[in-house]
Amino acid sequence: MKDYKEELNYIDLINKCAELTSEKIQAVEENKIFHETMLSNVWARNTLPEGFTDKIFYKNMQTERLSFEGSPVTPEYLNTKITYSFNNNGFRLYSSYIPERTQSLYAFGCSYTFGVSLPEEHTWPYILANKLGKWNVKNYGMGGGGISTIARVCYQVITTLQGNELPDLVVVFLPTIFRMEYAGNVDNVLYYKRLYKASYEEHPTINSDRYGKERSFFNYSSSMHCFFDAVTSFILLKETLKSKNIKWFWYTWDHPLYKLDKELISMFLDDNSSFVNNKLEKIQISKDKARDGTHAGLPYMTNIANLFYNLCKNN
Amino acid sequence: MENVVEERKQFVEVLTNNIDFYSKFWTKTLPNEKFREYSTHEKKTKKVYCFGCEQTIASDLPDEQTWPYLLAKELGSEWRGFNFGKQNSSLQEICRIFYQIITSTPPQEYPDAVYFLFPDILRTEYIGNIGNTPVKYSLLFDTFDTDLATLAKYRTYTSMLDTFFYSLRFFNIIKIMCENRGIKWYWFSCSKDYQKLSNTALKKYLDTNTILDNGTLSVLPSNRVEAMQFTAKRFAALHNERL
Repeated sequence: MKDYKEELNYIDLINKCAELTSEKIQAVEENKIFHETMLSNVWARNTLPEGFTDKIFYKNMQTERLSFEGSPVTPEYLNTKITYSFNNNGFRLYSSYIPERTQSLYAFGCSYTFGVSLPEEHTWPYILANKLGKWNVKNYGMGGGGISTIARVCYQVITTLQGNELPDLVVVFLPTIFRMEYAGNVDNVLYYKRLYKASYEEHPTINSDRYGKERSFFNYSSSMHCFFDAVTSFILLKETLKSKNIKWFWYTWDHPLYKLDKELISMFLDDNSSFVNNKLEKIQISKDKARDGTHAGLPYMTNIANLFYNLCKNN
Repeated sequence: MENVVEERKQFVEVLTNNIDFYSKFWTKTLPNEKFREYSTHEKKTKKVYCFGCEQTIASDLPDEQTWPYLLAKELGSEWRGFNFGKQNSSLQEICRIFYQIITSTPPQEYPDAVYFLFPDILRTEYIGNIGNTPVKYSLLFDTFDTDLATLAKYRTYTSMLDTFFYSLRFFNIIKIMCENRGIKWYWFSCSKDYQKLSNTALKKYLDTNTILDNGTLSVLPSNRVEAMQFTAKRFAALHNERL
């Protein structure tokens, strides 16, 4: 019973988070404050997300060890040092951004959009923008992001923009529906994390040491729960973009969604994606991996860019 | 691990086999909900939609004591009140019902104003398929005096912080849907947790198109009938103030 009473203080915590200023947020990098920072920006209105995981997690990425977990790394990456640039909000900054260009493309997604272990010219948002005719592109990919993360970031970014600041096109590359966000304060340690146990059935990686510490994903959720959580996030995403009359397309690497008929996808999500034979088009991840040996390499990124390019061209 | 893999495999099967059940969630087809109707309001021209939990449907009170009825009366003789309250509903469920109604309504038939009276935010929904039977729990966690078994069950699914931030998603869906369609909307909550939010937190996380006293959320009178009158009067004042 004592544990439950301690939670009563959560309102104090929320009030405290609301009072944190962005200057404070940027200045502090300690984990505890970092988590408060994350919480303070969850669903916050008119606040761009500051100090994202990316900024901290990837700050030493330049010296990160090469990983060879059973997958061949594209040879050209082996001796290439990949340097990431970030904007003030912790998103990947493309060096080719030219303010004079009038058309702009925003890409939202997870690490596949961010382009972990890939040089910027090999990331799909960059390839897509070039195919479209050298549009300016902004990459809002966030490592480990779930659909709820993406919807939240999109809401935060888009609702702060007006008129000419708005992008002409938004493309969203959704991860698996089994990534869910969870905010908690177990053992007086604040954390804000994505629950993620098994990515998809073809690749059931469950690492209990890493994810099972706070609570088991399976206790927390069910596949249906994840699905409807994804649906609600999708609706927020859709309504946010619709409210600003922004054209948008989506695609996913979530394998369970590949199995649903187009009618079901349209009923719960939307049909502004790519379908083949009444199912979502399935793009296989090629064997040529990124520098970390885990994320997809250039061939897959090119295929994703092509898929979005065709959607743009046909619509 | 095998269980997880098996569940992933069953996902599509369970979804497609129970599509009638699951399509009640987040589709444009309204389920056969039984909403309260006010027969005396039928010929009026302006529409006010009211959403909420049992505080809104108020099935134990006569029409003329429910806040949607009183609100329509306060707004003027041309206003017709629609009560979309549902017993034991959570913020998620209210959001879903609103989504279903508004997306199946043509723009020319949009309501002139929409009001929400949100329940305790600690009510959360959980949709599962335990034993291959689709279930929808509306987990209720009103006080700390609740028995330990209920608490333990609740804690399995969520934490208080998680519930708070989860509720914000649904709040934002409602907000952006109304703004998107140019519908005037106002909200209020009988959640004690929302009432404890500071002025800063209220502005940052929610919105101030609500009933406030000294910058924070007003407290509902404990007497049920008085609470209905309070809600109707203050909502009407809010509406007139912002015209």
